[in-house]
Amino acid sequence: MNRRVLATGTWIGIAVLAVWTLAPIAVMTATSLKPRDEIFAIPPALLPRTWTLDNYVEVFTNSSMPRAFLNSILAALLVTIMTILLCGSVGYALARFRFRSARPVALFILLGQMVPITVLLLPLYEMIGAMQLLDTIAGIGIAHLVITVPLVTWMIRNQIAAIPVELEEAVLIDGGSRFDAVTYVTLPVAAPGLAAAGMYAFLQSWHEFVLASVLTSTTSARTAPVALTEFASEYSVDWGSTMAASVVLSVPVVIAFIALQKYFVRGLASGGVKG
Amino acid sequence: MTAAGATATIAHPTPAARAARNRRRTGLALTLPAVLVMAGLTVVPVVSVIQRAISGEGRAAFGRLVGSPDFGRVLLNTAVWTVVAVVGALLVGHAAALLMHSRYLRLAGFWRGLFMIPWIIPNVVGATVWKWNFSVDYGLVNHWLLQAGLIAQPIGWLSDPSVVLIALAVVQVWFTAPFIMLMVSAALTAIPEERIEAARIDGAGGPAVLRHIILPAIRTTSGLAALLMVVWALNSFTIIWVATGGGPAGASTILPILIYQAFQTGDAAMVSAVALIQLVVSMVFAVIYIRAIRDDMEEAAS
Amino acid sequence: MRIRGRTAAFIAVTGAMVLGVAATIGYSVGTGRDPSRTVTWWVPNWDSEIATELVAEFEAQNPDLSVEMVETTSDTMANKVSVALDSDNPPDVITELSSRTRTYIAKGALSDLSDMYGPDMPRSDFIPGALEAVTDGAATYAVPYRWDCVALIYNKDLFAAAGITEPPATWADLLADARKLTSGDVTATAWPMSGAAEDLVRRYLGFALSAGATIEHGVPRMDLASSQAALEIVGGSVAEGWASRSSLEVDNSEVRELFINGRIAMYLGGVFDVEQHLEAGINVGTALTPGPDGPGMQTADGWGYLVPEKAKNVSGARRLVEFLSRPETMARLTMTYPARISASGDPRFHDEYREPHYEQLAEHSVPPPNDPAWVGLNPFVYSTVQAVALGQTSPADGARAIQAEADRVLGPAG
Repeated sequence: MNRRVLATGTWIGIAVLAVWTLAPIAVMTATSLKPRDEIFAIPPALLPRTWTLDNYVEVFTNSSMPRAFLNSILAALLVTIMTILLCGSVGYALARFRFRSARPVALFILLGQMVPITVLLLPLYEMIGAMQLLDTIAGIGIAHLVITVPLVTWMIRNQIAAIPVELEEAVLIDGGSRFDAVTYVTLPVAAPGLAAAGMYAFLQSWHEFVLASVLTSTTSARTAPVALTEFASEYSVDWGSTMAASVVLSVPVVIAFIALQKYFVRGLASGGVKG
Repeated sequence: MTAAGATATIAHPTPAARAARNRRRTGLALTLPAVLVMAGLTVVPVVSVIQRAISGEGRAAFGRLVGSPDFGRVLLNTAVWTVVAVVGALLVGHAAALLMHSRYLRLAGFWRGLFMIPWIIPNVVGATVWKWNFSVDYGLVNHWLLQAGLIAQPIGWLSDPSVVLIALAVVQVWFTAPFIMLMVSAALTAIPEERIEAARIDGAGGPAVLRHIILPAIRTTSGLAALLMVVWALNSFTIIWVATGGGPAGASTILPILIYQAFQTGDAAMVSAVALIQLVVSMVFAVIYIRAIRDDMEEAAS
Repeated sequence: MRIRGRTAAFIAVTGAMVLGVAATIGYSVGTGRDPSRTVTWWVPNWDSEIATELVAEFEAQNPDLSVEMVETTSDTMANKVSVALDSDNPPDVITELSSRTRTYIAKGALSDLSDMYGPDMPRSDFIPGALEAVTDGAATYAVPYRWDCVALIYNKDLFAAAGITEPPATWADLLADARKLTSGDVTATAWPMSGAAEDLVRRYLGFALSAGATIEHGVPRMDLASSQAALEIVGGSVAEGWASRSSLEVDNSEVRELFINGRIAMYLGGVFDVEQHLEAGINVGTALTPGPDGPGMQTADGWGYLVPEKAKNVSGARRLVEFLSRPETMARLTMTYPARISASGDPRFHDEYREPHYEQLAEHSVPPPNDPAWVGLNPFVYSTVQAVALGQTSPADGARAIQAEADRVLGPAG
């Protein structure tokens, strides 16, 4: 009886969340299937009166969106790898080692998250320019570290700090090295946290607009959010194609994320570890 | 004897002291790459902001800012926006994450992936869709509410100064709650199931388990999520810029909008002045966070 | 042994990632081009099709130069140009909005192009406002190639249904017609009160200028009466109900959509809009903007070619600009009206629908005020017009507030 109430409650909660999250997405998708003159029709209707795939044809044949999608994925992957390397290292240190400068270091890294992007634009542009990396994916990747490293450091630190130290010590006592302790105990148990951190880094880079728009100029490095502005001309915006492009951009990422969800079900218990 | 002992200690540190020193060194070495990268990326901009903000020009900009008739309201708007957006996102995000861990839910991974979508689609697109939904003329929100007979007149979600800020904060919640869901989901996996089982066997009900076991276990994550939401709320202008441009009549103008307006008009001194205010406010929250988890930091380090 | 295996894998993967990142960055470091042979041109995406043809012709005529075109977009242009001009690494030629140039001039970021004007390109051949907008003192910092402004666009069917035969020519007509046109779902007009501040401020300025305000050195000089008159029309119309309440949530393009949906009977819009209405099958008409007792004023704006002060290849840039500024090339690259009078002979600039816009532009327009201090004031004016529209402030109080803020920021009017 209690079980049934809880189960029903869960599914009601899911339904509410689904409507709340997905209704605007439905509007986006429906708009991408409308002909131009229906988008601003009064009274409004969610579903198109005439269904059309013209917007999708436009996205695939007459825009730089496919290239931009690839650029975005590459930039985001580069950012994710760099972020996980840097932050895994510093996050582990902050969680496991006691040293006097730990707190100032932690605070300093966090500071990066708080500087308004508008302030960072010019210095980053000059720095990336000096490295000869303007209009390259690597240039965007380096610049995007400023929006990923601060928080990911803390996400990883918190996740590792939640793992009891004794687990690592047990490996050391058994004669293993610190590396062994990390690879056999810490990494598997921290996997959900690392996955979350990686997704966060990926997405921060994925939809960052201002830095990417200033640091790139040609289609060879232009990322997807920037390329979306190509559907706008001086006086009008082709919203149908913009929405179609957004749908096209989002679907592979959503699928990839659903696939990655398996890392979230591994709890401590399944790691074969006693709390 | 004493002196000799002391010398001996210095010359031949005890294994424990040596190990402690090695650990300190390893710790520092591990932090170095990230610190160098962040220093490279942020020190120059921050120093130049501070320099410009305290220069004569910057002080004049502060004067213009504080002397402007709307400054008080901008601060108030910023506070309302931040509180609604942060509290809303924390509630929705935690609720969603807990639901995802419900035993009764099947395909949790699938749902979690779906609920991430608001965070995956480009901000400008999401903001535009919401702007349409809220429109008086062709907005579906008003259309459906009218059809359901819940309202008699369309509500000017974006044109009525008394509701616009809340409506926009709801959009911000829509964008950011998935992120909290993600973080909290990860933290929930780190709670040993045995601990929850043990509490249940002791007769604790759902709310008690939540309050005494789950929430304390994820508190560092919740705190970090709250901090990040505050920082985002204090830095995000895309949604408001796309939907209302700060209007009507300044009803949705917050600090980041001021900074972006100044940036667009090339008023570098004003940009620095507002940026410094934002930086200081954010830092206050960061220090609060770090103090709050200080005990946790000391006890975790070995 | 097993333990070491996994650890080794971990170290190997980490090492591989570090190497991979380093290699990617190393590989990306540009090889560098010869700046004396390349001209980089930032061109908006809506111009790029014709610009590509023009560049091909230019390169054929100038075999020693190659032009690298970089497309900019409406939403990214302002930020990109502003950052690039502040840096040491700007492009050689930039197509930019004339009204934004004064901010760049004030920063000293543009090179002086005054000496490009001469017998082949006489100043007298340009619409005066177009040159004025990019000139500071004696120096001209750009070559304008496009110049346009808004005029009245109206729905002939809705006018006929309300028993009106002619578009309004004076403010009295405007008010009388507006009352007749507003009924049921239809309101007389709408203003772009959401979206970019400049758009709304320009509507306000147009009426203020019609009522006697002037612009000196990029700064508008208005008195309370002209400011109040403008606020009564642009803001007061919403409060009184003859401009759509939706004004507060629409920008320029959404005003156009309201017109296409038959929700408003007239509005101020550009030539481009007329083409859209004809495509949508609307019985559309155009006319001069009404003024207090005759044609009213509008601020015009346009596009020009800039050469940054720090451009790598200034001589190549000037040759490209010279080529693009010839009357025949200018006419081809212009979506609205060319800035040179000798380029505007083509009949496509003067059909039935375009003629009122051209007359408005040639005879009843001035360049927009673009002094950086005034531009910085735009958000305040924007917000005040909205407050009048909401009925929070009366037009008289709004005019006083704008005056006070202008005095505070710009110094008391001379």
